[in-house]
Amino acid sequence: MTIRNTDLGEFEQLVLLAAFRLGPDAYAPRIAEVLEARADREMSRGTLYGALDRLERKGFIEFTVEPPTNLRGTRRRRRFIVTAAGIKTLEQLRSVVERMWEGMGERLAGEA
Amino acid sequence: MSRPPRVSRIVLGIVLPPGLRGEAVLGDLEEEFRTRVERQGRTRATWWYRRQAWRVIGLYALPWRRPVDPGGILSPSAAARRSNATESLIQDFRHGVRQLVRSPWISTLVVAALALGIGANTAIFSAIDAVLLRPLPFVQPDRVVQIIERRTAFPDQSEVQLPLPNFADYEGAASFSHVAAIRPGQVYVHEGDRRPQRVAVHFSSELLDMMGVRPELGRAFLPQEDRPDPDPVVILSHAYWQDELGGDSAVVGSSLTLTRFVQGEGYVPLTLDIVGVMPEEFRLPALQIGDDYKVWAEGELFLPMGVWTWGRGDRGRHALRAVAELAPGTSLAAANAEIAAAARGIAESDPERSEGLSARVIPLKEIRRVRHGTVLGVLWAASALILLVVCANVASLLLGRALARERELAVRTSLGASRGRLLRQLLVESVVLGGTGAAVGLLVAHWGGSLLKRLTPGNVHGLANAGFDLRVLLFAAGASLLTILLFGLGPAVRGTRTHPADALRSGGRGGGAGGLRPMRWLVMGQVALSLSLLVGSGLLVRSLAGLLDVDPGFDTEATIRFVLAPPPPFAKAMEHGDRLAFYNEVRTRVGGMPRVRSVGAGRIALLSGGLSSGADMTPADGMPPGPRREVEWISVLPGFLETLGTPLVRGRTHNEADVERVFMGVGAQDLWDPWEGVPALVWPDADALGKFFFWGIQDPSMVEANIGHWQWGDPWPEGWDNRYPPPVPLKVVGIVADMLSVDLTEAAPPTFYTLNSYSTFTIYVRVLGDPVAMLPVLRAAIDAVDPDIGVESAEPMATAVRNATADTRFQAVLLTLFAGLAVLMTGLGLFGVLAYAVSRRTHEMAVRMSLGARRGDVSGMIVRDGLVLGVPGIGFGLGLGLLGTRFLSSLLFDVSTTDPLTFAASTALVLVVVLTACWWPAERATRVHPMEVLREE
Repeated sequence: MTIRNTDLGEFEQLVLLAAFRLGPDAYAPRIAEVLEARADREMSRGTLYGALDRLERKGFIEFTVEPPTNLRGTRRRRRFIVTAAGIKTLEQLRSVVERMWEGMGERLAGEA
Repeated sequence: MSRPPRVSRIVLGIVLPPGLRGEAVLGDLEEEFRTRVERQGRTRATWWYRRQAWRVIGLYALPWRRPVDPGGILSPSAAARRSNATESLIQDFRHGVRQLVRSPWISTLVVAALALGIGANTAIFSAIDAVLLRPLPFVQPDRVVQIIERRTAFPDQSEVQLPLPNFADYEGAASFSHVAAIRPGQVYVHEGDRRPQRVAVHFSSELLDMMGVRPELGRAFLPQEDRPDPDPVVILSHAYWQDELGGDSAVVGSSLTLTRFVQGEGYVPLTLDIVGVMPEEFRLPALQIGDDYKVWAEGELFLPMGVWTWGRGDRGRHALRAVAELAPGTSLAAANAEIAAAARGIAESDPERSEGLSARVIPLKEIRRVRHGTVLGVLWAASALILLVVCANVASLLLGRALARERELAVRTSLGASRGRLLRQLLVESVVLGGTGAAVGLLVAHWGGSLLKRLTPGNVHGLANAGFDLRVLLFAAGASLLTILLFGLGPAVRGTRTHPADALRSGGRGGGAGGLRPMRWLVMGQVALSLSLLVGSGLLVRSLAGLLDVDPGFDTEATIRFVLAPPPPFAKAMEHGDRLAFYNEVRTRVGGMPRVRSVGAGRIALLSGGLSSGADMTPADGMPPGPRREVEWISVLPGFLETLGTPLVRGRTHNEADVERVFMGVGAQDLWDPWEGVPALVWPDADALGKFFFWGIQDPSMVEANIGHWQWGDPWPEGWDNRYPPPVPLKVVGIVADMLSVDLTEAAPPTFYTLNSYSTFTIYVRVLGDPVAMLPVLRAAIDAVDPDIGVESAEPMATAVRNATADTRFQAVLLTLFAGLAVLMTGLGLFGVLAYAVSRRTHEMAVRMSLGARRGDVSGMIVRDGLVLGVPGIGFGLGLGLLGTRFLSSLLFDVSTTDPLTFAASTALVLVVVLTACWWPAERATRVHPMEVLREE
């Protein structure tokens, strides 16, 4: 599902949302953890970093550099921050989806 | 603290982009790894790390997956445009890969078919490349010729071996810039106490100039060493130098002693100075058809031509092969004219020995082509046909898929995708398929190539060098590209030509049967091609069956032959008496063993070619000699004909009394033996029994004058052609059935069997039961008779027959393999088309059946559909077969190129395959439930 105007793939949306939800805790391993918990299966880190790079390129996300932790040895880490454009896109997405869902809940219940 | 698996981490470190981005990713993974070690244990965490590391490696290592650097130096618009173009190509590519994975069965089938097609072609091409296309090992490979003679007495026979004096006459021809003679022979080298037999090839000094080869150590032969009796020198082969002399470079300047046979002197030792060592890769060139190339290739020592003694000054002794390089500016025709004139001169000056002599030159390239061209050409044609069948097959599969995707393409077109864009996407998919097929095809070619080398009878010069060089790889790439275009372009063009509105309106049922028309043509083509391949292979199989069915005139089931290694003649002077004693001992010991029925011996190993001797004969009853003709002459010891089971037609075979008369009490001669009591003979006219004949062509008056007067021990009569034995007539005591002693493919030559023994001979043993099981025991028994005479090789006659049919077997096996593949693919192709047609026509079937059509009608309709494709295909195939099999004629034995049985059987087989391919789709069509189908609408 690609939403027009936003140029955002389905998986990218989920990553963006996860980063937004994690707020100050949006490190890549935590994002993966959130997504894996929701999807209930192991997620490819290749896909994740690919999506993060694309989101960054599209300007929906940026990062700050933080010093290494004990678990990482000498390697610094990135904390991701959803940009204003990213937040705006998430809002747009939500309103599109909500508009699409309007009045559909009863129908779903009826079918079930 | 536990560390992530090394290899994955190191590869990751290399692949990740430098700087912060890579560092962070590496850190993330390490952090997660350690968390997981605590939660899940080390093993699972390690596997997790490996898995994820390789996925990230995949992300950064594959160029089309690598994210574009956000801070790139390209201006935004250019970068965007470029990334658009490449990205859409990348998208197409990924889409293609996904399409492949989505229908794994079809993809596997397509890739397998392509791999087989491309692989078979590449393997055959690598053989052709090695055997026919690589330049001959000469400085001017295109200008090297072989000199060949012919005599009017034997119009069908080119004489490859030239007498030394004739060679000397041709050598001076102005047409040649270089001329060289080659002559293989055998010598006994003194190596300590041993005197092993070695292959020594004599050649003249210019050969190495022509080949552009220098010895790796020392010097080449000098021109003066071509002239008779030079200071004796020898050049060693690299292998001999390494294996026997330990590769010592001080060897040049030392000497080597050998013993060889010299006409008129017997076996004499000769000490030679070692002047050089040839490089490792040096091989003598293969020459005229029928050459026993193995002998050349195994040359261990090289001697100058001047050391050769046999037949000097005698125009009747055929000894040398001659190669020459045309002088600059000389045409082949001019060289031919000059050589022919020289031959006429020889014929005039020496009418007695050279009557009707003519000579000509043949380019070595031409010889090579004639020798191997037909077989390889036929194989190549067959493998090209296979590739065509594969292309047609894959094209029809893809076409089917393109039609099935009509709706998808129509939707995309109506959403604004240009036709070019769709075309490109379909072509990229073909490239993905073709590329995968080509990659697997190279593997197939690699295996196929080694299989080819293993299957080929060992007489194809150069095949051992076959492998992948640049030319072969280019060929494979070209074949793959052609294949991709052939199978990919048609379906792509066809698939994108639909009108979106039509496609969408027909509700996914497609444009009815019309859309199948190109597929139908492809299937018809496949039927035709595979039928023609089947006919070709059928003819070869019939030839093979014919060859195996030939009655060779001897028993092949229960007989074993033991070729004896000759004792060094100087170490053990075996005269006839010794040989006979040895043979009698073998006969007593082996003949007394259980399960042995009889023992015999003959000079030749049957079917090994070339060891029996041609001879002329003159009737001794006053009749004129008649037209000169060659007969085979086989010298045997008693028991030979009985052991081989050759039927006796009249008279008797040799007996012990003959042996007494022939061998006892007469001084043994090394070359010619007394010819008194004699042999069984195949003579065209049965009344020959009891008649006498002479050896060789003799003047009838000479025969008259000497018959009955000449005694063994007398000087030879004046005027007797002393190349032949003295004038003692041979008496015909029996007549036996024809025996194919030399070659299974040719008519039995007229043959006479004389009692005689030679330093080399072959013992035949006929056993009860399995000869293979008996072989080791018998071998040991023969070995035990005399420690100096060992068994050199032993094999059941059945093996000899199998070797003699190896060429035909090889061709038949390969072509049958190809034809089988083609038929299988055709069957699958037809099946695919029909199954697809049925699936598209379920609606129509349902309507028909609800209107009262019976099951039989419906399935009949599908079968009819299949036959409509199959029958014209068979028609074309028969025509193609009739055209194509003409090229096979030289490979066939005892079967015509238009053999009706083969054509009928192949047609029947294809028809069966066509009907089988129809069966399942027809069956499925009858299982259509009209109500269900129509309700789905």
